[in-house]
Amino acid sequence: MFNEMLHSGAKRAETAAPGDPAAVRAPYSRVDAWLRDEGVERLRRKSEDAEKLFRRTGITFAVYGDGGDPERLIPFDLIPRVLTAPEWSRLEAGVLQRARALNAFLADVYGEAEIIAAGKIPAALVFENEAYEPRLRGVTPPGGVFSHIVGVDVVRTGEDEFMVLEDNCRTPSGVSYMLENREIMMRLFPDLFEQERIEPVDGYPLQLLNTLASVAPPHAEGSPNIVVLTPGSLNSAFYEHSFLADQMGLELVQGADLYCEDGYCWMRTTRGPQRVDVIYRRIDDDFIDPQFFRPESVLGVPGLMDVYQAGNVALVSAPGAGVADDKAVYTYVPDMIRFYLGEEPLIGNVPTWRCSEPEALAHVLAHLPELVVKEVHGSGGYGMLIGPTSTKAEQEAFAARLRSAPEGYIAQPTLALSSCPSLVEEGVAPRHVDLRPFALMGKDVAQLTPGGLTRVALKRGSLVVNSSQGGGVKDTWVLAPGAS
Amino acid sequence: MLSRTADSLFWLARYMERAENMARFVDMGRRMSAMPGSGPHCLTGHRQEWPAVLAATGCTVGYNELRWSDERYAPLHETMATIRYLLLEPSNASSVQSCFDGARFNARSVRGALTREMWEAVNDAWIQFRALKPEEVNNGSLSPLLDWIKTSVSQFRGAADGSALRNDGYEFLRLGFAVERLDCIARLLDVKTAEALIQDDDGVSRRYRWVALLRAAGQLLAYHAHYRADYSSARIADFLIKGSHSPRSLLHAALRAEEHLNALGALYGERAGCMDEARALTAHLRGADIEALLDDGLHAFLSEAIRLNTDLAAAIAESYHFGPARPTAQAETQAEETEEAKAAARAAPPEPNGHDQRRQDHQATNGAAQRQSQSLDARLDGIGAGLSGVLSTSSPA
Repeated sequence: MFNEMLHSGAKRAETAAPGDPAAVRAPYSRVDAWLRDEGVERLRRKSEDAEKLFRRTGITFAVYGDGGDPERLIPFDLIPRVLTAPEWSRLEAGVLQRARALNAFLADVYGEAEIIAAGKIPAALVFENEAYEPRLRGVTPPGGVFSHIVGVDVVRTGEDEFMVLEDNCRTPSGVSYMLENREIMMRLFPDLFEQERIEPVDGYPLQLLNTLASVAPPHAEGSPNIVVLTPGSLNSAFYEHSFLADQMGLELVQGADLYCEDGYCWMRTTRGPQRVDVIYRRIDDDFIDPQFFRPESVLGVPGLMDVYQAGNVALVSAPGAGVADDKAVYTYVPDMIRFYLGEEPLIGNVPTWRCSEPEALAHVLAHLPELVVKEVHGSGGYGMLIGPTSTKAEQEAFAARLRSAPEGYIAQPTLALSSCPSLVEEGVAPRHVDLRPFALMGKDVAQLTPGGLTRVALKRGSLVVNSSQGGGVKDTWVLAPGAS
Repeated sequence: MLSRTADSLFWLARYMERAENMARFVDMGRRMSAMPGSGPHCLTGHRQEWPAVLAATGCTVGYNELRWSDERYAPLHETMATIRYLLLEPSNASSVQSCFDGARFNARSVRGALTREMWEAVNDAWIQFRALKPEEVNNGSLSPLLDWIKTSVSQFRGAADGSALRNDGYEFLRLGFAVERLDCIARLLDVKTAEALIQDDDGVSRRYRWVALLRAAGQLLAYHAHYRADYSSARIADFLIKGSHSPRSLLHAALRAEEHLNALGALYGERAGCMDEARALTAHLRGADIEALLDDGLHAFLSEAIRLNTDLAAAIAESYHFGPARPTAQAETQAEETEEAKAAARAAPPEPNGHDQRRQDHQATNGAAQRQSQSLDARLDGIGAGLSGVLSTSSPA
């Protein structure tokens, strides 16, 4: 396990208190001094202040069905995650490389499918994938971009080593936390930001807006009407939808606000209909058009897919883009990078066993207690086995599922997550973290805001960072070049 | 702007205004019931004013359903049971709690159309009121609580005044305030009518109740400034019905509605059809013959004003395309774009009851015209029922 703050090489890193200066890595030296200055009690009070600010601003996410408070806060951990400029530039290059390859893959599999012809990826994995939409083969989205916002979940596995845990190609959420966490840190600890040179993240909304505008259909040139489409205010990520629309100065619409007529999509306004050119939709494929996808959906816009196929509206992300972030497809991303870009991957995958391959399956079955086994199509930390913390019975049950449907699973070693000091019940203690930077892929431009969403597993020993399972978030600092 | 945004701003203002007025209703009920009673129906030594308040707010039926069958209510004294129902009862669509829920639901769905100050005023009120425990409401805490409700709404109104861009959204918000205020003041006046049917008044207590009405409307000092201390029923009624300089008179509210519709017409370069309904309402109020109303026509006059106002709200919805029924809350939860939440939903299937209230709010919010006419019927029915309630308690065997 690599500790973000402590030198992993130092023997005492495992045992020393996080305040021990001898073991602290350079990028954390100021954070460490600040932690000792503040003391745990003051931090706790500040942490309560932060919680009040989140509630007051309404930065909550909805949880359905368990009878508790329907609007929760994602726990916010005050202690920032710090990345140096050189670390970031490596990450940036690697994430953008990956986002390019994923888009090239999507354009290919909805076109000629050369990568399949070349034998680099099995045809069945793509064409029989639930997220693949055969009816859209041959449709090029406006601007040629399929996945405009690519969230790449990265973990650190060593002093200089990062690995990709998974890709998110269908409008990943969490970017509002990147922005609001920073806002709240700057409010609570203005001094810290005077001492450190931290790259700002607040350029993101404008970059997103430019990305959206860049893929407007040709008829809308000049002043495209761009909207954000949300399922509604009871959706778990509604705050983010609303926040982003607000930051970009766009209308936040619901399905019932839109309709299709004469080959275009329109929104209902107090002054009559207005044409819509780009839809940043935060609704799953399944729900966007009841005439094309699920007929029982009341959230979408009937006829929207016809307008899309005629090239008269841009959908961000393009329907069918989900095939690129499937967990089984994930294992082929390094091959995609080589195939489409002719480059070696700058950030590798976590070594992964595809259980569909008999040798891999045998290995996985023999090493269950050491591995994390995931469902290929599942996500969010559900339907997985975490070997080291599982019971014998759980392992046996999982082994049975693996044997009966091996193609539904992949397995990875558990070394994956580094840890970062966090404010928890027992004081300041290391907790596992990952990082989701958000790549923006416009018509001719790819950008990455210096920062991202750091998720932290607040339960001791836990590797699951998902907010639905006790995960929290942290502010993520990228230090400016030359800063230490 | 999006029609749904306009609709939500309109209803956000209505709910906030209604919350404040519910506090005023409670305030008036409390003042009146604190008066020493006289006459055969006042066996308990205090007057039975609460049924009249329940009737005017359209709460009689709902209240009676809970009064003796619900364990939260059965042990309570009549006054406290009524107060709890009017302030805190979640199943009462007009309780202050429901108003803050509805206001916040609408505010949240059009968050981008609000300034931070406006949002925080609504959200703070909602957070704090939600944290209130029923047992914390008692005789000692009631006054500060009612003041707090009024202050919270003022804070929102002030935030809108001081921070909102003067665009069409602002006009829809102000329209909501005006329409709801007219509705509430008319009902407040109607409490007076209902209770005047109890034929036991001597001149002193009759006048006292008119003064209580002024107080509840927050207009006692304004009245003083205007008329000095002359508490004639006719003048007070005139002040609250046609006193165009009183911000809580019916005519004032109607004129504001006209004004905001004019402003929208100027912005859009087009006179909206609903202007006709606004004019009809103003004409009705201007034509009031106060002396005649005080004889026996007040209830009919107020009912007509409420009806014209309801027509106006429906016409606004039509003129500005507030449009088709929206998806229900349950439908919204149908799509969860994060895989994470989807998996969570699989792991724990949603409990239908958890969303019932929200769904009601949502429907209440969005089927605007329909909802309004429904609630009007309920309220008018309530007046009759409330009156018979008053009369039956007033004639014990």
